Amino acid sequence: MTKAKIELTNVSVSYFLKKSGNSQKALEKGSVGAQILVGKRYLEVAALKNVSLTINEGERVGLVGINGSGKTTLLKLCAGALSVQSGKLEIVGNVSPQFSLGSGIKSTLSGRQNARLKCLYMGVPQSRILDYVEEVKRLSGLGGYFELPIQSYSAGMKSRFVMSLLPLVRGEILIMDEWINATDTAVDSIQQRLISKAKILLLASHSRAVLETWVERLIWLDRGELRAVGPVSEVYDAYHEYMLANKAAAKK
Amino acid sequence: MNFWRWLRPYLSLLIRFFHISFIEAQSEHQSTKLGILWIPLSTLIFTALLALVFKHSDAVPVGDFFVYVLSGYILWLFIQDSISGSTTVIQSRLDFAIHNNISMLGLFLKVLVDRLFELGINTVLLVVALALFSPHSFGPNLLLALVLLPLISLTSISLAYLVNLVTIMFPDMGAVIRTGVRFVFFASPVFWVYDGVTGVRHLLATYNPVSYYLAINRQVFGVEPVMLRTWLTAMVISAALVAISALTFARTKSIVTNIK
Repeated sequence: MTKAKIELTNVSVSYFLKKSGNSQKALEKGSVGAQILVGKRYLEVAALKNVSLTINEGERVGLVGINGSGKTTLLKLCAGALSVQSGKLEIVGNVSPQFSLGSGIKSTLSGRQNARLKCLYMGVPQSRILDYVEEVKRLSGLGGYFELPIQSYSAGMKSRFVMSLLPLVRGEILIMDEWINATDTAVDSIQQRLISKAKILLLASHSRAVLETWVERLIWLDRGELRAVGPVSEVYDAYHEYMLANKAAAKK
Repeated sequence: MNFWRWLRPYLSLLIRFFHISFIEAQSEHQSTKLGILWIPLSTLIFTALLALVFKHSDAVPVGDFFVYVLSGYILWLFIQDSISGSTTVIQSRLDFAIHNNISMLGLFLKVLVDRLFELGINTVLLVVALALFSPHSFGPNLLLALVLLPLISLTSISLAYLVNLVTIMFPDMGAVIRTGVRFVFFASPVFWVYDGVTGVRHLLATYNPVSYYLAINRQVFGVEPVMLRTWLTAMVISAALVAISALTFARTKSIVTNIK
């Protein structure tokens, strides 16, 4: 049986945006975000530059960095939502992305309809769909709201619903952008089970507490480049110092 | 046995996609009393209007002309959806697809299944209409559906990718394509007959590729006599489209998702 793996070798990823208005203004350097290059027809945002990285089965890896540092790009790349412009990306294993609340569900449909659709998308056998849907209903604790469209849910209800869908996730590689806080212990245990079941966890977060709880190795991304890789406390301390120095420089 | 083992997961995926299309279509019409029945009903109403307004000759019975229009219109809807409905597939649906374990190619397949699902429902309507107005049409020509289905599926998915790519590269093309498709509706023999026509209509019937696909659909259901030349022309057009699309996909797949 092949082992799950994520391997990036000199990977560069860019976003391309159609030029409009005064493109030269886009060259202005800000305190956040990757470098913007002005091409003939497109503005090129160099989101990742020559990143080399290997994540093996069993590893729990965190991503940290200021806004626009490339965390989401790296996660989306591993999930297959973006492509590499140069370098080599190798992914072994099924990837399950959990980017944000509401991604992968339809807000106009009810909780029940969404749960049924999720079962079908995730390949749950037809004979077991009904049981799974009832399980999602029980876990979510939404009662009658389970039959109403998601768009009528409060943020907390939506969070409970999404978390209740997580047992359906069957990825070997779990990719999470920011941490979705658990609303109660039942849902928290689902998250824990999901993470422990995953062969690889790749989690982006700004929270030291979250990172220290869930990951062992931390990657610090800065303007699309690897700034540091190592144990969480070590890398987070360096990142924190950098942030404080940046703040102090901005005040001067 | 080995072939079945190879085929089974694909069939299972296809059935799952059809089930999803059914649930999605159902929920799109959930606030209406007739629900999913609105799909064939709206086709029926519009076809009836076209058949009544554009019936050109008293020599042709209304029933026959209705079946002629319906057999063309249901395939036209499929073609229209393949083009107009594909301008924003990657931009608006890839994120949802990725969260549901579907790749970019899988997404185009899923969208194709949505179109085939609607075509299937409308085909049931056509079969009922044929049984009522032209029962003699059913015959061995129905077997040609086994060629028609893969042919239009491959053409549709190829066209969808090309249309989506063009719209991503040149966003203004979205509006141009949607407007163009409306024009092509009138320029295609959906509600006008091309037998014996001259002038502009003859040119349109000869050089508009849509004409050939409408004709082969009609031939499957016995609305028109089977003509080998029409099938061969449609196959050549499809082969060219599939080849262009496959080459384009190979060359653009590494950039198309990164254009915002």
